[in-house]
Amino acid sequence: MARSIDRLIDQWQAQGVVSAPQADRMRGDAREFHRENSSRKLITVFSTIGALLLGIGAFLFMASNWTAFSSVTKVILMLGVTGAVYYGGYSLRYERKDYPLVGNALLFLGSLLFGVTVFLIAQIYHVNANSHWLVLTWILGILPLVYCFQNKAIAGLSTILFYVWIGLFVFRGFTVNASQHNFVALPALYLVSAVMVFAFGGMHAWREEWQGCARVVRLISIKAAMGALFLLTFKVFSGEWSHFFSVSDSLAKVTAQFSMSFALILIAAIIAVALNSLWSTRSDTNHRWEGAIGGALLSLTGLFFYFPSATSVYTVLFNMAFASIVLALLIIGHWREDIKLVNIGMSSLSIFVLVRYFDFFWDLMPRSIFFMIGGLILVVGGLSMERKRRQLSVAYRQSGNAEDHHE
Amino acid sequence: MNKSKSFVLIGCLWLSIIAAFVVTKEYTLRTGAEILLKTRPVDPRDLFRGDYVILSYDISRFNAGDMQSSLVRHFRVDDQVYVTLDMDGEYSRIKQVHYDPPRGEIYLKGRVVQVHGDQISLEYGIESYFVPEGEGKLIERRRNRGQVDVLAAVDRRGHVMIKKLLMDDVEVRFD
Repeated sequence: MARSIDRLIDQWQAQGVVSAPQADRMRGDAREFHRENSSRKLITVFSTIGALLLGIGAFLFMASNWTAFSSVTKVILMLGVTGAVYYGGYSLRYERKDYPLVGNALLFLGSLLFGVTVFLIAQIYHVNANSHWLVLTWILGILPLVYCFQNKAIAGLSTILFYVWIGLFVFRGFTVNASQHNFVALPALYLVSAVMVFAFGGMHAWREEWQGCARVVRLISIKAAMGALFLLTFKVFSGEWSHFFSVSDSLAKVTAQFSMSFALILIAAIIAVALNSLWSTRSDTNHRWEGAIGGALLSLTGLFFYFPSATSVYTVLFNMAFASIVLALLIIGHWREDIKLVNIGMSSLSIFVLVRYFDFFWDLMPRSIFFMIGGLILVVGGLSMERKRRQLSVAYRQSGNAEDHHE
Repeated sequence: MNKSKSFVLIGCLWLSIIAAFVVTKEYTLRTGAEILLKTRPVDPRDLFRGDYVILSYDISRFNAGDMQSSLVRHFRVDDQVYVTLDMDGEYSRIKQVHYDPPRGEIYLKGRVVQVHGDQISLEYGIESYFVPEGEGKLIERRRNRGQVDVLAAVDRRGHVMIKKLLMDDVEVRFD
């Protein structure tokens, strides 16, 4: 980036737009900004990873040292450590303000430790291990941090926990045998949930101070939606796979608990997409695309769940939807000069092409030719996509659109 | 709202959540009536996972045909039920399953998790017993030989909690 700015300044100097001393000053400032920016990113990455490792360490330490402390000692210890870390994060970020990035990381660690404390107390009282209430309690405890302190890492953690909670909630009390039909419908449930959370994140982008967190929530939701949609492109999840196993039969046999949860989330998703589309302060083309894609995905998934077919028509439709969304991600990413959207689009496209290649040509070609052509597609396709991705990344940076500026 | 107020309020919220959690559990443990429950073998595929032992009880299953027909409707998965106990023998056994909390009797709050014809499986929230790492295998073996009992406490609202795990009538401790 620094080199491309230097070239630009050279060009201005050659055109006489800036004088030699001005150009020197600009180059110096640009280098200083670049150093500062790199250093900030490095600190953020290191301190967040450090917080994550400490959180995981606390989980493992508590889980493996049952006999070393009494229950009361463990609770007091965890509460003390959580409180100290939380205060330390707040103090560094907002009171002393001298280590804001480390402060943010400590606030994130505090939110991890709060979850550890909840799970620890649940273990002491032998609360059922897969209880969805524990995850919900964790989310409710840390959500205020997202709203009050606009901490992006905690926004990401809350979003991931929400997806975990949905899984535990719909499978509450079930054994694997009792819920086998529900597993088939799980990608559909997650797709609807991801559209709901994406739209919910979009509503938060209306307020400027929440835009950073909203972007994190929406990016995670796009990945969750692409993952769920990818599973639905397989016959085993959306079509007729074999004579012994029928998706339409399984969808007809999902439990009432699953069916009710699906209906509630679908309704919430429709409301969220409608609110995000109708009452948003944004009125750009991308926003209309978001509403249209969200609505189309909800309609298709709703039809699939409530009107299953004994044919593979939905597999074809989900494949078309996946390809269309990859295309939309690439186009919107390009319009907005948003390299993260382009990355998600390109990685989804690579996996999609590879898997469909296996699907269509495995039985049609001799194995040797199949693998040779497959290898060629991977090498050439991978190289050209990586080259294109890098070109776009450089182009977006040169045009000054830092990713953080996108909501 | 300024940051310092938010900081204090969030801290209070966390303390309240933890305190509420501990107080409700301690209330059940300290005020609840004691019942002794017989555990039963669990499908080997669902055995010890991580740091806890899965427990199933004699009261985790019942035959709907054995219940008073006037009280029993068609059971469905996720139904909330209230189970009164026959406590005359050494172990507590299911006396009747109700759809509404019964008056004047000790009852457990449970949820229907599986329905196979008249065979109904219930869950009470006491199906996990956490142990130190590596200590679960012995308990599993004893449980599958029918040598593990659970002393539980039930409060007035039907909440139940594990108080002690007993192997051959001796409390299991990990000190």
